[in-house]
Amino acid sequence: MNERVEVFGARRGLTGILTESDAAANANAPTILLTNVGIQTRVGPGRIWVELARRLAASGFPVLRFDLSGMGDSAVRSGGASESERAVLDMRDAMDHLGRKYGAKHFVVIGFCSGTDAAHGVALADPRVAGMIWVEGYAYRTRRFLVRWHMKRLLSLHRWRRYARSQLARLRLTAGQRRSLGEEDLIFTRDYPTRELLSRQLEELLHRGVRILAVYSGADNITYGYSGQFFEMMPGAFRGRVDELFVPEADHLFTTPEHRRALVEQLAGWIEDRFGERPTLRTGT
Amino acid sequence: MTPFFFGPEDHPLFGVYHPPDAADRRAGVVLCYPLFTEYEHAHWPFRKLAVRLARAGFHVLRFDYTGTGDSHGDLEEGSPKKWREDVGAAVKELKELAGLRSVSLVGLRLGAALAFEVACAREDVGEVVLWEPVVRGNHYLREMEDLEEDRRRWSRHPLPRDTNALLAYPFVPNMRHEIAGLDLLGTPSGFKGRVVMLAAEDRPEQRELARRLETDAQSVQLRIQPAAPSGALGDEALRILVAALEEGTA
Repeated sequence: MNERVEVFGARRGLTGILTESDAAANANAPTILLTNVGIQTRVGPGRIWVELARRLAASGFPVLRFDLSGMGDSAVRSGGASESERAVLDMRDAMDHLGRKYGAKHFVVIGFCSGTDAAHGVALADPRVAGMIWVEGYAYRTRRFLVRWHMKRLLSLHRWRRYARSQLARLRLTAGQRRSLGEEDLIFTRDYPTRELLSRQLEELLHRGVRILAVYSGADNITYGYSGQFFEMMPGAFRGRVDELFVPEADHLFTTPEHRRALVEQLAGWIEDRFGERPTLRTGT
Repeated sequence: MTPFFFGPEDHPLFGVYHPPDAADRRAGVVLCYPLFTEYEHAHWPFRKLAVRLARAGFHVLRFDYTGTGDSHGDLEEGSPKKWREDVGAAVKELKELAGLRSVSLVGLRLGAALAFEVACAREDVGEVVLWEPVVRGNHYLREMEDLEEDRRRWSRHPLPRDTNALLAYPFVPNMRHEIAGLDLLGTPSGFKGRVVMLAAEDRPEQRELARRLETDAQSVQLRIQPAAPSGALGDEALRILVAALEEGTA
């Protein structure tokens, strides 16, 4: 396993770690790009990106984990672009750098939670993206989801206990604290594309030949609740064209090590299936 | 700032070196992160602290322990013994990089306990800053277990129990055993340099540690600074830390 620091981008402000196998790499394998999850660094929650990078490198896929501008160890990008525009510029800087230095031609981008915006944005903007994975990405409730959700809530003893505890805890709060409860939700609210727009964008990506995997957890999810929801939550026929993985037992950040390890295997397995071939020697410059 | 790998080739450690960004004080600071979920919260404040210290003329190295962050290995391979060796490797690296004979250590939470033990065992650490220190490992484990219980209680769905994990991180028996055995009050100190302790809450074990250190240390300063709205890792804490280290080299 070979891990080295890569510093790149405008004024060499972006910082990442490139992970490659020591000996063999697949000359035509795409390079995998991983970035921040929420405000966490390139390491990922529970160090998931480190584990995934090492697992994929062992299969011949180079992986760059890097911090978007203004996060982790990367510098702030000047120029006044919006957060989502900056993320796309950062991702393209990463691709340009890997193309120049190592001859990388195509990429698989993986976005986790809010990182989906960067992955999806660059996939739309840059034809070098050959694959895209969302983990806990865009999701929209369906009628079936709502029925199941309410039934589960009514029948779950754990939920009733949690509800009672939360109401008791609320009684102990001051009026000011109660008012501020909703503020956190406002801070963490993100704008999703409309269902119609997302559907059109996915069609565009599929038309370009981009392979897509969408992964959703179930345990913590208030929007996504059953296997196959992806194909019912927006217009368009995506069954058989987009891969979906639903992990009902995992929470939003896959915090249980067992779930995290399983997710690493699932993501690596999907990339191997979709982009794998016999490894050949590959050298950097 | 310069990110790089250092240490043995078969298990490199990731570090970020911040050279002085002002008149060189000829003084170095090694920053010792906390571990587990606390590492995730500390990364940004540590970056800010490193930048501010560099602006005050210090050479600064912050680094990831074995099995954490970008460093080699899996967390399961780590233990306080291993992490103390890593602190030692970081001290050596910064001394070589900056051409210094001694350095200061700043450690947060479990990182403070590691920094303290390393400082006691070496001749080339002139000052140790214990920031919200973990004084007793078994208390720390209990706090982690309480937080884990809270997480389960407030989760929307029942979470599986994993006796070898706490708060999303593996917690294997050897690591747990060594952490439980950490006790700064039971560590024979003999540390002759300067000690600064910064905490948001006044706790008896911190006072007891400060009292014991007074016997040998050149100076011991215990600062209780109630957490600002920005939190215990906020700007006010960073300002106090930079000022304390500046005072040490004045």
